[in-house]
Amino acid sequence: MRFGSLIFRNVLRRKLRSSLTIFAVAIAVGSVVALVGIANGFKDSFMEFYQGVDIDMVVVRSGSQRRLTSTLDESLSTKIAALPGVKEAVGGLADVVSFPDVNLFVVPVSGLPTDTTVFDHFHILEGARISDPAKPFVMLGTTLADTLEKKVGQTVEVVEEEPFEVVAIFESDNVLENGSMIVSLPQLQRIMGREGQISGVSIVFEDGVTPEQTDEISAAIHKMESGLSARTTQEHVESLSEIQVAVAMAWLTSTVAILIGSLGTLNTMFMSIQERTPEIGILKAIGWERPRIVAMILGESILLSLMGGIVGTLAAIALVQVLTKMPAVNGLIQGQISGAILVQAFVVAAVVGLLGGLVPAITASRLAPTVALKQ
Amino acid sequence: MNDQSTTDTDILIRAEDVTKNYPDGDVPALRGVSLSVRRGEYVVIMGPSGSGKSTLLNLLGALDTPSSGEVYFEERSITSIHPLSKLRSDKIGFVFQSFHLIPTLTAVENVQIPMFVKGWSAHRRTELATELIETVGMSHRVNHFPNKLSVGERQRVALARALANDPVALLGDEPTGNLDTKTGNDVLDLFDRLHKQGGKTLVIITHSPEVALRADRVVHIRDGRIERED
Repeated sequence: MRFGSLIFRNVLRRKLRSSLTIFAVAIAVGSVVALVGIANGFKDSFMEFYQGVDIDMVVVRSGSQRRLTSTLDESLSTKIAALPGVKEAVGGLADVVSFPDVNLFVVPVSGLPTDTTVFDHFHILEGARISDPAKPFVMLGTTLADTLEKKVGQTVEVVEEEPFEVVAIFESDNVLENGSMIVSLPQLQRIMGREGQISGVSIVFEDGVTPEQTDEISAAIHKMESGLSARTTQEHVESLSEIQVAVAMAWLTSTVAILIGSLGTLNTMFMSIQERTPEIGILKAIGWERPRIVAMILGESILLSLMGGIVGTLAAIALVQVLTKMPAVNGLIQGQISGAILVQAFVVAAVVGLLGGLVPAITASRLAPTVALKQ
Repeated sequence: MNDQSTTDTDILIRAEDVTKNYPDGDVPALRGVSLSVRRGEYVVIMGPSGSGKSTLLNLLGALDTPSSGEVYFEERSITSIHPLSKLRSDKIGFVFQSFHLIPTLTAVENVQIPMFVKGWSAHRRTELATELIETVGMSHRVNHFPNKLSVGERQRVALARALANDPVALLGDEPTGNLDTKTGNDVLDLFDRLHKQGGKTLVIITHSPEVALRADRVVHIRDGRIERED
């Protein structure tokens, strides 16, 4: 028999209690995997959105609570396009619309200039890209088209009583785009009552722009107007308040779940050592030193937690897969759980085991053999 | 080392004027007890309940330390030995009235528990534990769990566990207290064999005069003091 076998048998001794503890830890770990995974997937979607079209820098209104819908003057993009090192500056308007009839409440809609190269990365599955910015044409991402059950030639009310003709259905490598719709910039400005406004400028640099030149471009943009934020794509995505809130909420919820998991493990381990006090007494009587008793009890709690970690991770992966298929989510999140999240999940499981097992383990190791044997 | 004038190479365990007070006890459990146990000796401690015999055995077995006085094991004061668990693991085997076997482990696995501190391989532990199970006449029950064993068989397994690290002394706190006469005698025969053939030093607490008949010396204890020795 190995030391590990002893730990394993001790965990199996009270099957129901161990199962409940595993369940509590599974909730903690599952929360981390699902919530943090979704939040990070959300961030990755944004990152891919910009990287997919080779966007190097994003300009939005600084300090805006919701940068996705910040407001800038349309003329800014022309000024930025004239800066040295800038290949293209695309002023776009972003907003969200909803389709309550099909349970879609957050559908991103982009208003873009029709002559921009940004359109080039969309893989048109059906129809053709918007050619006339003055007409109410819409391009639907493939996921959105499926959910709305729309085909080229049919109409969609982007907002109430504003029918747009579907001219194309496109596919992108990015799940966020697949669940979105695109109209021309003037059309979105019109229906949203935001004439002359854009929410941001996406900048594509010329080839070979150095970090120093990037800083110069950024400084030049800041001089154009006060209250502008010009950040590289990565900085921009990480600073989006929506994403920061999503990640923070995910960790906050997970922290509560981790505390519950730890308390569950703590309770289980205390009950376990109370039941086994005479047994711990005999271990001390026959010469087990304190670190070995600590190792045994901690080993049991960490084993319970890791089992919870496995159950929680599998459940979370399944849950995320189910969520990504729900229409209400509409492709906003990615189904993949990254390796980094899985590593975090198992670190969380180990920490839950350590937190829940350390105090009972030390308590057990401090039991005087004569006192323990009397019980 | 301690006062060499009292050194006797034959003496294995020596208690010198020991007292023991428990924080929750009204009266001292031991009130100045001095007792020497020679190497290879079979000593029985008898006395009424609450007389202090278990407390004395705990001190002799380094399970506890005295409030005053000294206990020497192989002429080293147990208060100078750190950790005491090493002394217990290397030199002393314990057998208790309630066998305290781990219910989820088989007989042979229970016997391996003390061997973990030795750092031996799993193979060596299994081999030695199987031999010890045979020594106590339990080779037909090697892979049985404690709940499938009779009380006598459980005490035999507990005895094999006490022998796991080949201790010089075996200490028993009423080891036959839960056994019927025949089973108790079988277990006592085993103790006899370990004493006579194995050269083990035995210190046994008992209420039974029959056990006392087997010993080299009987120490009677009452009210925390040694009343007489036979």
